[in-house]
Amino acid sequence: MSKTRVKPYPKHLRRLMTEKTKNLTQARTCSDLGMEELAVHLWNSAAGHEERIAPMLETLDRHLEAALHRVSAANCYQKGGDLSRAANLYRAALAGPLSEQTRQDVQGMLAACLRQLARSSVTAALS
Amino acid sequence: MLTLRCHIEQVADWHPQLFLDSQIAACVTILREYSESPAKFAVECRNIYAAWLGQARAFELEVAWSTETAEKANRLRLTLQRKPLVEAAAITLGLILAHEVADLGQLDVTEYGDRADYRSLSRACVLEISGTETLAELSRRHRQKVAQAIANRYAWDAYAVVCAFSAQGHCIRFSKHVGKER
Repeated sequence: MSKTRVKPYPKHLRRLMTEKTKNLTQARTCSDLGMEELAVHLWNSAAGHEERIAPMLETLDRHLEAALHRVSAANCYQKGGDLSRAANLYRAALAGPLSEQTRQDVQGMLAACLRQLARSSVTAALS
Repeated sequence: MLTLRCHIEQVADWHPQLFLDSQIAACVTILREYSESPAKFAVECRNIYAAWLGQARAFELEVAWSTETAEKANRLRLTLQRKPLVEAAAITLGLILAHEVADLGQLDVTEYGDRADYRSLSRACVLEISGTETLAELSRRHRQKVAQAIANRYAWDAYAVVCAFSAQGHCIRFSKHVGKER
């Protein structure tokens, strides 16, 4: 995909990206400062935005960007504790045109997420 | 030599979509340990073209801060470890250069593993930023960041910013690189 041929971002998509970036950077700050309860809410909100952004990018033929926003959504859901959704989004991202290195990274992230999910399922079953 | 002067609080106005309160305070936390306001940086540019810069390949960056921000910095110092403080300080300075020199416009942030990726929504390029308190490490860290920047996940052009905070004088290396997409 050549950068000269891609369609520009429409206003509503830019707005959504703005809201997402605000949530995501707030989540990082809260997490760094140990404000975990607030961070979880913000991670999930950022993830929801990323999930909506990805298909919009596909309609603009920005398929690589869409896949990377799905990775971001998955990372945010994982940090927000929604591991099932995170795993689904890592898998969805892997269907996109990622570079070989990024693909390997995302496969590693998916494996770590599934291990975390397995541990939390065992803990839930025992409690 | 050309001098670029700014107040650190302006960074939040230039990038309203980013939540930068703690980054700005982190930057002041670090800078106050070396000098009073304003702090001065020797900025070395490579492959950076901007109307303001003309033919110059280096300039001085002067960053001032308010007493209110200095008070926030005092509070933050107690809550963050040294390494994240230095990285957050570098991000603030990188965002000054992104706005005032490279004119990258609105930036989007995505989450990738343990780190955040910064990219421009106006131009197909990404921004890699890092910081150190070891002046001798500047070149090595810059090479490392350039390698990461060139291999960016979008295959776009990339800007690399590495800041070295030091009692011998602060330095910033700022460069642009062609991505794999071309």
